[in-house]
Amino acid sequence: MRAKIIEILTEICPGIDFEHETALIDDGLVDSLDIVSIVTELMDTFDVEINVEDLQPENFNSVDAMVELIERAQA
Amino acid sequence: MERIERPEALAALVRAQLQRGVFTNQPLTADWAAWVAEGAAAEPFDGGLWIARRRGDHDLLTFCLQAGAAAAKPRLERPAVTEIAFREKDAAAARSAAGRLEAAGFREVLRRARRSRPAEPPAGAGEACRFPGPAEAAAVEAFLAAHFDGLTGCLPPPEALAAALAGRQVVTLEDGRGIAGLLHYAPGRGSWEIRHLAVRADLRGHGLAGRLLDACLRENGGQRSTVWARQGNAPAERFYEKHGYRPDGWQSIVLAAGERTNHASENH
Repeated sequence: MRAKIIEILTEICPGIDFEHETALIDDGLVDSLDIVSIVTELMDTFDVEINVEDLQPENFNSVDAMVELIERAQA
Repeated sequence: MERIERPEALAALVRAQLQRGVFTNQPLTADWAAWVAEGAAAEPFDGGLWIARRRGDHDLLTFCLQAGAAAAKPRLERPAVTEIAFREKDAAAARSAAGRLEAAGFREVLRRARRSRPAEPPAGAGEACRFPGPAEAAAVEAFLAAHFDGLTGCLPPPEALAAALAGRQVVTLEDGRGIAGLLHYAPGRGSWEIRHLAVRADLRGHGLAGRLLDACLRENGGQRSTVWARQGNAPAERFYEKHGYRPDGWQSIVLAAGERTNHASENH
């Protein structure tokens, strides 16, 4: 899952070290338009529903956070 | 537009729009409860969604537009404004969205470009600047209204202004006539953003704006900061360039619909 997420992120936001970055939103590496693309791709790829309430910066600051978000959505 | 009474209803409308290829200027991390409390209204249409929030004598719109869909003209009771922010990589999508809004009756009013200043201490001390409190809201509101366009100037609603004043997010310089210059900023995650910076016309060119900026930079520990400046506003662009603000690739298109009876030139 982690590798697939990095693949999606790299396609949407090329040139970012998603493997190691932990402040994607806080540091402005990923912006609000990117979040829309990321969320729709994640929902399509992993066949999950992401609640609007989960669209918080904390859930998109790192790949690990996005993995946790999807795992919660799959539960 | 239909008034939305429950935050979960507003969230559900937005959630339904999150389909691959959607273009939106709707902040996905919005405080839905606050939006509903301040009177949000929504108008879904075939291929998208409009959301309106009341701002003084006009509405501030956000929208979702599905890939390839035409924008429906929103049913407006008042003039309305919407802003499409984008980086160069999304320029084609942004211009497509703007074109679809223009086809629905919107007109482009102005463009902005964002500038960023990296984290570093200010050059000056911000002498004589002060942070007015909530009791001074009327004077601050009057200064903002006198120096920024009511439709495109992003004037804060009363509750937001009161919170800004309480949070030391407004800094002023004053003389015998009252407020001589003012800077209003919004704190953020990892950086803060200049929302309004203006100096009374008779006092321009004397370094007041620089002192206000230095005071703000000191207040925020020299943290990274950003500002959206109207493209083509040469004095503002020179000022920000001089103080270390460089274009960071973000731009915006501001569109409006409906008529207003008064217009003032935007300060930045």
